This record gives sequence, C-alpha cells and structure tokens, in this order.
Amino acid sequence: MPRNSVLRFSLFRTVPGSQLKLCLALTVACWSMAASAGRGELMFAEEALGVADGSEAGFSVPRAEEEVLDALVDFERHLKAEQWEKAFGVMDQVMAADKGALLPRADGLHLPIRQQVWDTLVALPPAGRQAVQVFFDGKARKLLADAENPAVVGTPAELAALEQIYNELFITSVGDVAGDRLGDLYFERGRFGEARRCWEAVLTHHGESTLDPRRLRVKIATAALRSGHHTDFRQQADLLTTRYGSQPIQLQGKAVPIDQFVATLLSTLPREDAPVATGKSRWKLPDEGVEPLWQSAFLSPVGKQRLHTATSQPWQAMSGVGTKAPEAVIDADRLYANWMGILFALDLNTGKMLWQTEPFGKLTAQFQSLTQNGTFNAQQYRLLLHGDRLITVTLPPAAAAEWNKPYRLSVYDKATGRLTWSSDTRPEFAQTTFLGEPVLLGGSLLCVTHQAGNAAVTLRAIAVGDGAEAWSMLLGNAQMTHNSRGNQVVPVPRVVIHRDTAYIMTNNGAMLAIEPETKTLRWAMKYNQPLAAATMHRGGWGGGGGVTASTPHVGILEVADGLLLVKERAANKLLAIDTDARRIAWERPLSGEARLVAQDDQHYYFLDPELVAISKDGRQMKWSVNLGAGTTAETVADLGDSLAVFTSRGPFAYSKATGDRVHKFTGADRASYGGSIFIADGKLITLSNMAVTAYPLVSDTPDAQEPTP
Amino acid sequence: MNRATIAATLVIVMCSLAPTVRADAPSRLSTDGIGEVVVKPSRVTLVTSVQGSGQLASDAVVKFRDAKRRGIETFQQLAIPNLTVEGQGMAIHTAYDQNTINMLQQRMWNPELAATEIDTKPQIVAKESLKVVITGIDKLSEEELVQTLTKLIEAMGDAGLPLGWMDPTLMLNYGYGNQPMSIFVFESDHTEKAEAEARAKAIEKARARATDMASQTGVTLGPIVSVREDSAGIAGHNPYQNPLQALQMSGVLSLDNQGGASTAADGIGGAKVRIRVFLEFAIEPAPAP
Repeated sequence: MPRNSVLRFSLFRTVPGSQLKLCLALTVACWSMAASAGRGELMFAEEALGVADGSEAGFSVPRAEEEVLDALVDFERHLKAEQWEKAFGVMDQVMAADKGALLPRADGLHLPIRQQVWDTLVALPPAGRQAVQVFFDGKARKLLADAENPAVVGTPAELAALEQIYNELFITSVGDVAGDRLGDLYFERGRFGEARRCWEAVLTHHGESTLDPRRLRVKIATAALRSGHHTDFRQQADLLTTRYGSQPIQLQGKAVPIDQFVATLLSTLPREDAPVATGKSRWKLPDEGVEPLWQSAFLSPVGKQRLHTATSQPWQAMSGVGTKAPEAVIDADRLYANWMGILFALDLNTGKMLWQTEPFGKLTAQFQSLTQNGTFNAQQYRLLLHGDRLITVTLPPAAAAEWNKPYRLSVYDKATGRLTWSSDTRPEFAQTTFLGEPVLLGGSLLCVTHQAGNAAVTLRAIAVGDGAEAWSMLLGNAQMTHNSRGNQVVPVPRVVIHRDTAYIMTNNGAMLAIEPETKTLRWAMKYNQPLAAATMHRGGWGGGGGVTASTPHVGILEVADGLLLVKERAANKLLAIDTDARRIAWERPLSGEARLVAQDDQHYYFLDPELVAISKDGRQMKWSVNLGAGTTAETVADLGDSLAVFTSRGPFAYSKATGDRVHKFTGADRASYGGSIFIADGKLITLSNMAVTAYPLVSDTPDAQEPTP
Repeated sequence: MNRATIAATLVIVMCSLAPTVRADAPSRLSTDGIGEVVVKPSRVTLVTSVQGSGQLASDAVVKFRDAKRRGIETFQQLAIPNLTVEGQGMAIHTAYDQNTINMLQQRMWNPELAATEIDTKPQIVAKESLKVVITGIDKLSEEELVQTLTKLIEAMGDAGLPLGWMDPTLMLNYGYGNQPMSIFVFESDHTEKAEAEARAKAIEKARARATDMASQTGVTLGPIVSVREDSAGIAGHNPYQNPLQALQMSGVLSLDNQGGASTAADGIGGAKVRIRVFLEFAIEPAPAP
C-alpha cells in the first residue's frame, strides 16, 4: 500500500532512527543554498523543508517520498564531487521514482522534483554540461529526429518528444532547437507562458546556440503581450528597439524591421494616460424619491422578529446569520438566489416569485438553531449557472440546524426549481462536505471536498449531468480552524481556472496549481500569512477579543493583467503571482477583510470594508471612501465613470477618479445593511438580507449597452 | 456626705445651669431656597472623528486625508448658518487588527495553533476628532433646530462619519450597546444672567421660608447673619467607572447635576440653572414679660 507522503514526513520528524536522514536532508538544503547563491534559484531552505522546527503551519501539501529525497541527496553529492556517471545514474532513479511530489524552495514555492533537477542541471559548470552532452546527446538527437519525422509532426507524439528533451535533456546539444520548437507548439496552443519560458530558457542557458536571438526575443515579447503581461512586454519592446533598431527579421516569410514590428504590437496596448473610465457615464442611479419598479421581500415581519431574537447577543451575532444576504446569480430575465439553503427564482420584469425550494418560514424558524449549533457557515452558500442548470453548494435550513451536517452539492433545473441530483443522496458522498464554489471544466464540476472530521482535502471532478465522479485526487491536509461556536472546520477555499491549470487557494496558507488533464499537482505555494481566526465575542474563549462577525467572502483569487492575484481571507498581503514564471511578481499589504470588487485599466477597487482604489501602476492607494457604519456591501456595479455600492444608507455612486460621492439614492430597502447590487435587464437590482428590489436605471449615453451581469 | 449636703449641692448646680440654657437658647434661624431658571441653549456641539488605518503608513494617511476632506466638505455643503468645524489635531498610533488579536488569544489556549503564522506587524492608525459647533441656536424655533440637527445627522450617516464620541463597535464590545448615548451637547452662553435670576429666586424663597418658620415658632427674625451658596456639584464619583463621567470630566460632556449651576443638557428644550442658597437669620430676643 502506498504510504501517504505527508504522514511520512511526520514520521521522518519524530522517529529517532531517522536522525541520519534528517541530517542528510539538511545537508542537501545547505548545499543547495550555497550552490544557488547569486543566481536566485533553487534554494532549499531548512524552514521550507519543514524539518527545522518540527512543525508546519497551515495546509500540508504532498511532499517527496523519503526514497526520492535520499536519491536526490546522492545526486547532489555526486555532482558536487564531479562523479558524473554516478550522478546521472542516480538522476535516472530520481526521475523514475518521482510521483509528482513537491519539494519546497526558499521563496515558498513547492516545485516538482523533476523541475528542481532541471534547475540543477542548467546551473552546472562547463565540465558538467559537457558530461551531460557526452552521456545524453545520442538520446536527445534520437528524440529530436523522432519529433521532426514528417509522420509525427503535428501529432501529440511530436509534443511528447520535445517535452522529454526539454524536461530531461535540455542542456544537450540539441536542447536549444527542441526548446525553440516546443515554444512554438505551446504558443500555437495558447499556452503563452510556457512558450515564453521555453524561449527564455534557450536564451539564458544555451549561450552557444546558433538560433537567432532577435527572433527569440520577438517571440518572447509577443508571448508576453498575448498572455497579458503588459509591463513585461513593454520591457521586452524597449530592449528590442534599443538593441536591434530597424534590423530586419523574417516573419511569416517577410523581412520586417524590428522596431516597426514592435511599434505595431505596442499600438494594441491600452493607453497608459487614458482617462480612468470609458468616457461619459453609461448609467446613472435613480434620483432621490424614485419609486422601485418592484420589491420582493423574503424576510417577513415575523422573520425579522425571529432574527432579532436569534442574534440579540454578541455571541449569536458572530454566526453571521443576522446580516447574511442571499448569494445570487442573474441571467437574461431572472434572478436566482440561495438564502441560507432556500433557493428561489424571481422574474426580473415583474419581481414575481417563480419558484422556491421551501417556504421562507422554514428558514426563519431555524434562525435560533443556526446561531447556536455551529454547523452554519456563511461562506458555504454558493450558486452557479450552467446552461439549463443551477448548481449550488448549500444546506437546507432543517439540515443546517442539526449538528455537523455536511454541505452538499446539488443541481437544479433552473426553469422549474426541480432537484436534478444532490450529493447527499449518493452513498459515496453521504459524509462529504463540499467546500466553496465549484468551477466548471468541460462537462464536469471541479469541487474541493473533505470528509466529516477529516483534515484531508480532495479535489473531485463530478459530472454535471448526474453527479457521478470522474476522478479525484488528494490535495493535502488542512490545518483545522474554529468557527464562532468553537467547532473545528476546514477553511473554505476558492478555485479558478486559468489557461490549462486549476488554481486552488486553500484559505489555509497555501495555493495549489493542478493540471486537471493529467491530474497532477504542478506546483504549490506556501505563503506564511495569518490564517483566519475563529470569530469571537468579548467574554468568550480566551476571555477577551473583539467582535468579528462571520463574513461570506473567502478572499481574493482573480486573474488580472496576466497575473494571479491571491489573498487569503485573513491575510494582510495581496500577492500577484506570475504563474508562468512561477514567482511572486509583486506583493502589497492590504487589509485582512479586503476583497477585489472591480478593476479597470488603471485601478483595482477593493472593499476593505471601505471602498479603496489602488493604482495598477505603482500600486499606490489613490483614494478611499468610508461607506458608513453597518454596511455589508459585497459587490459593486460599474456605472462607467462611477461605481455603485449598496450601502446601509442606500445605493450610492462614487467617482472612479476621486472616490467622491456623485449620486445618492436612498431607495426603498431602508432597514437593511445594504448588500449586493447588479445591473440587469436595464434595471438596478439591489439584494439585501431582507429583500430584492428593482429600480429604473437611467442611461447617460444614447448608445448605452447593457453590461453583462 | 449626708443626704442634706448632696441635695444642697444639686440645687446649687441646677441653679447655676438655668441661666446658661436661657443664654444659649436658639438665637438664629437657618433656612435655604432653590432657584431655578430654564436657559435656552445658544450653542450645540457634536464630536465626531475621522480616521484611516493600514499596514502601510501611506495607506493610513490616504484614508485619513480623504476621510477628513470628505467629512469637512460634508458639513460645508450643508450650508448651515453659524456652523464651524474644528479639527482637534491628528494623532497617530498603532493597533493590531481584530483577526490578529483573536488569533493571539486562541493560540494561548490551543496548542494546535502554536505554529500558526500571526501577523505581528501593527496597523498604523491616523485619527482626528472633529468638533462641530452650531452657535445662535437660541434664535431658532424648536422645530427649526430639530430640522437642522436631523439634516446634520443624515449627512453624517451618508458620509460614514460616526455619530457621537464612541465607536459603535467599541460600544458593543464593552457592553454599552443598549445605553443611550448623547450625540449633542447643548450649551448656553448666557448663564451669568440666568444664575443671577436663579440666585434672586433662591434668596427670595429662603427668605420666605424663614419668615414662615419664624411665624410658626413665634420668634422674630433679626438680620441675616450668614449667606452660603451650595455649588458642590457632583462629588465622590470615580470618573473611570463610567465613560460618561470621564467625558464629563474632560469637558466634552456636561450632565445635569443636583444642586449647583448646570449649563448643559442633552435635550434641546434647554438647561435648568439651579442655585441653592442657605440663609441664617438672627432671632430677636423675646420682649421682657
């Protein structure tokens, strides 16, 4: 039976007999650090290895098996002694034994051993590189010939052969040609980041190559542009025009001056000095006094009284029940909402309730239980539209009122509200908690799950149609945290698909990059940032502390300008990760509660809970506006020159340029704390913890187009 | 000593005491009177605050700068006559965010969290109190004053400015959430005259009471031999027991007290100026029979 690598590391740390191996591991780490000094790559840190202090905070990612680590120690030792034959022999063992496990680097990245072997090889001294060519040139040439075989060109076999050369034999004499061609193939497939990495590797590690460096740099610049790395593209463009000027380069059979080609690419970029917004406002909030088109209140007067009673004490308010507004999605003419386990659909034209899964009284009758029993989690009510289906992670009120019930994945017919299938009715998922919003990948849902009482976190691909599991893979072990009632819980993650990779922010101190196609963990990142503490109340655990209500947001995980923006819910730092280069491009302190709600060419806009604008250029805070006490705004609506926020005082619009309030509209939902705001079907829709309200929206431009919800 | 000797001694003693009692019999009459005058407030004061916080000092300053600018503009745009906004000076301090505090406390009793990263970098907090004063409110009708103050409260709510001197979260935290907290402090600039009026009333009442007492006891009032005005105010309180009193002691808030002069109240109907005066009269000797 294969042993769990995480457990093995635990044994590795605690069994006295493993002291020798511990020393070896540290030796590798120290040697590697020394070897890599000055080039900023491949530094194994003792702390990162997790063996220095005998503990590891946050999410535990699968790590290399002990045998592989031992082999890696031997590999590094033989290289250092210039015992090439022995080293390469061990390298084969390492490659053969590698199951895709990861090894930490000093900067927090956990990379596959295969990648780290690659990093070691390209850093070899000339004697080592010569030895590699002596040992492996024949094999590499054979693979390249196979790839260039006309019968193979254009087939997966070509890609496989080139990848093998690039991954294992890159510093052989044909590694540059293979790398260049592999970059072309990646580029053709839209994998611009990987293409760029191949071409940059040729330039960096094949100084003797006869390939035209001008052509490689033009390719790199083009890939940077296509992948949205505008800053990097500008740097490449400057380098090309400065170094090569009008020298011609062959592109698609024509000789084109390099500076002219670069100018053409530059002209496609958005202007840096462009005005903040798109010109005149496209939409304007209603004037004060305008009556709503309709209002659908789901919290009845009796429900309000029950809510008040259930949340009158601070420890009850900490549950987040009191301010929880429904999660909602909108299509052409309907709004679908998940109000703490009750799903409903509204007609956007009339406000008429089209269907609901249960009477709302079933929820309000459980308010007291939801604040007390510890099952309720404000972050666990999610909605997703897919064709005719409404996909949700949820727990009906009666179940949420019970002890420790797992949140389930359910699919409904969006036209009728009829349940298609639900995970709780499938025996294999009876004790499975689905964590956070799933993402669609083809006909499957990628879902992060765990079993009740178990810290192991699993990624599952589940068919949208019938709930059957296509595949699953263990991601690692979470460090449990506590909810407002002291129950141990696994933090709710976020998942985003970017190009061909699923990025999973665990909200537990780590982010994982998964390749769904091969079901492999490509790399991971641990960022020692604070975890979210349990919500507490004064006089509660520890005898002190403040008032922090449970909030529905689960941190930031967004793709912006070709970078992956990552900030766990309680972390005080926003990381921008270049997923292609696998490095942190920049980082910036940010409030623990901040969530990204909008962006344009020049600014990121966050609710923290103030509304703040941070420039993309320089990442300086430009302005901030206090939205008022009690506001629980979760979204903003982009009106063009301004952003609309549903505050506790009503929907207000704030200038994108200055943050000044440009419009005030009290509206008809005056007792609420604010909430979400949408523009749909030519209407302004607000959604609080009490009601859905629609208002007429005024277009500021004759040719205004309705924004996509 | 025989019985006769003892009896004689007692008689002597009693006889010697008799004139003394007569000589020290009450020759004065003390009384007091409280005079009250209602003074319409001429000035209302409101204290609010603006602040910005962030791990980066530059973020804190941007937030503070924008909050202060918008706060002052909010009051200016109301165009309320005789309204002034006065900054009390910016203070900068550090504080930990709530998650850090929670986590530190939980880590103390939960060994599982021992290795958990805690961000020990404090937040930089820039904060300033704004004192908002409207003068001349004694020239407004009660209705006009209510409308003015309502406008002020609404505008502050829209601008996200806290109402009152205490942060709402802090109030909840320390269990004051259910206590009514004053937002406005009403004051009068005309208390000297009111005090004189109240004093005159108090003296008149005291004198009337003395006359009545003399009449009922059959003595004749002589001249006033001492006058004392009680202005003890609030005494014997620990101002740290109650933030209201701390605020009062700091001069931000005044409470109506019992006795002494009071020049502020938390209602718009006006404040009572109360003066208590003690008078002592000589009692004329009774005419010889």
